[in-house]
Amino acid sequence: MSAEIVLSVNSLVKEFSGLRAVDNLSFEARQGTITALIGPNGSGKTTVIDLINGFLKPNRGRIVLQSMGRTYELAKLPPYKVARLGVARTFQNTRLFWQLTVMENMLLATRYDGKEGFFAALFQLGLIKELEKQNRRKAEKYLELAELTHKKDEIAQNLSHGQRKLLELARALATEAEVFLLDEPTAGIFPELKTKVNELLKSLKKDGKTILLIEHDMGMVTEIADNVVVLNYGRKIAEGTPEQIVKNTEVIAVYSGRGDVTCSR
Amino acid sequence: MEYIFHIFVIAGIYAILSMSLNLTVGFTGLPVLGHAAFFCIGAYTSSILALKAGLTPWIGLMAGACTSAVLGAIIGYPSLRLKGDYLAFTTFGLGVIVYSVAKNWVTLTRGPVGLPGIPRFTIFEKEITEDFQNSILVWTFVLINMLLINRLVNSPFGRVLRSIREDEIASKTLGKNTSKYKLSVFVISAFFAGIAGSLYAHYTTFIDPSSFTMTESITVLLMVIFGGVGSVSGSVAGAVILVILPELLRFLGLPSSIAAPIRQMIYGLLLVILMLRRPEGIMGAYKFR
Repeated sequence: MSAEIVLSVNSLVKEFSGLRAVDNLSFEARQGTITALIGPNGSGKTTVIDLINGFLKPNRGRIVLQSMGRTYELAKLPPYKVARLGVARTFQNTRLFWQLTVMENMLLATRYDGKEGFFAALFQLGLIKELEKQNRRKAEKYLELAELTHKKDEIAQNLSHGQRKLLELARALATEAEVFLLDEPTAGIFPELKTKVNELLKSLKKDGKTILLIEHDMGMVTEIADNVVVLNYGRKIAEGTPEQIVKNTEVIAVYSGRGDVTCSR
Repeated sequence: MEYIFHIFVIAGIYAILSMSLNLTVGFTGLPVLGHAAFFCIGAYTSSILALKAGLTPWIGLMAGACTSAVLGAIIGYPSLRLKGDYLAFTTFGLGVIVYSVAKNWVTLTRGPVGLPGIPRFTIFEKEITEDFQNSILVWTFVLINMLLINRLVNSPFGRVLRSIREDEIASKTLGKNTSKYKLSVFVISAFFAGIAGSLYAHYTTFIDPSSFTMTESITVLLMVIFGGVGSVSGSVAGAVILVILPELLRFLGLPSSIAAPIRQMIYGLLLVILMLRRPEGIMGAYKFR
């Protein structure tokens, strides 16, 4: 674990009218690794991602991103700026543009570098056409990875649950971000697709991307995660390799009272 | 014949209004209930400039559109923090405020008495008086607006607008500054509505606040929904149909005290049928939400 630290969370606190959803949390995510965030329902995993991504502002603490040789304090930035620094995310309850086609969903993730504005639309037609062609090719590449090429002109609403999850993942990939925050990318999808997602995440890792993953399936976590952070009531109760975590007595105690760890929700 | 061309002119003006409203309501999914406010500002600015400063209606047209766009920015800015019903109420309030100003700022607008004698458009110093000529003028504007708005909505810009309608949070996650987009769409929509207002004022040569009431806003909204949210040609079709249809009632020879309420009932009935049979409107591809 000598790779560079890309994302670090320091003494993060988030309170919702008295309830501490995230309590003094610190951890780091290194380049080219998968950090899994696990814990029982309501332990604050999604809140952590919302904080990193800018949808929630922390009460205390810092979230520091290293991007292109510079340091950014994410806690001060709105979500769209965080995204532009190269942080992509998916949602636990898939958020697609339901009445747009699969292709349009993908194109919205690709970069237009300021050519998505009003003036470009009216006066820079040639430039836009050129960009559109490039982005379409890029989108097709990622759709192929997710095996959704045949669905590209379909409305997102018409996809099956598994395909929706895959499309959301493909859309995140198309942003060509450096950091991926994935909130249960395999929840409720059938085993073959899970393997597919696993492979995608592994190849991302190989490309040097940094992944923060919320996952309930311990099998998957042990297979692909490099580092596991366990949350309970917003506090970190353990951190280590998957092998260390499955042997950790406190983790077992937290989970044993709460039934099957591998259930998807 | 004059009568038919008059209907054409009115339909054209409504077509511009419903196209511009479709930008906010249909493409971006922002519920706007006070569109008549922008129509009103365009009409009054243009008329007052012509009557008090003696400017040609062409300058008034641009000035009206720009003033309306400024109002769009002023109302758009606080609206960025509002969602759904709250935004609907705010824009409703805007409609009421603009109407009250037009009615009560007597020194400027002459209040309920209205502004008579507004000059007509001129081309090569020739006044456009015939309804036939006016319908050509107005429909030229309709075509230009259609081209411009079509180009906008089919660009990456338009795609971002639609993504905001579908899921603003996801749009932000993909790095879109959605506030900026919402503000610009408010401004663009107001700009086009201002053009419609000016065209209307210089065509009828008389305006008073009663042309810019809440009912007007609702009528235009109805045209958008009827034609299909997110469809530019649908907006034009919606406007044309909803202007012509009630006119047919005239041929039934009903007294006007009955014809007017029947017109409203027909609108209502059409909307109910449409929502049941074809919720995406006659030419639209998206469901109205």
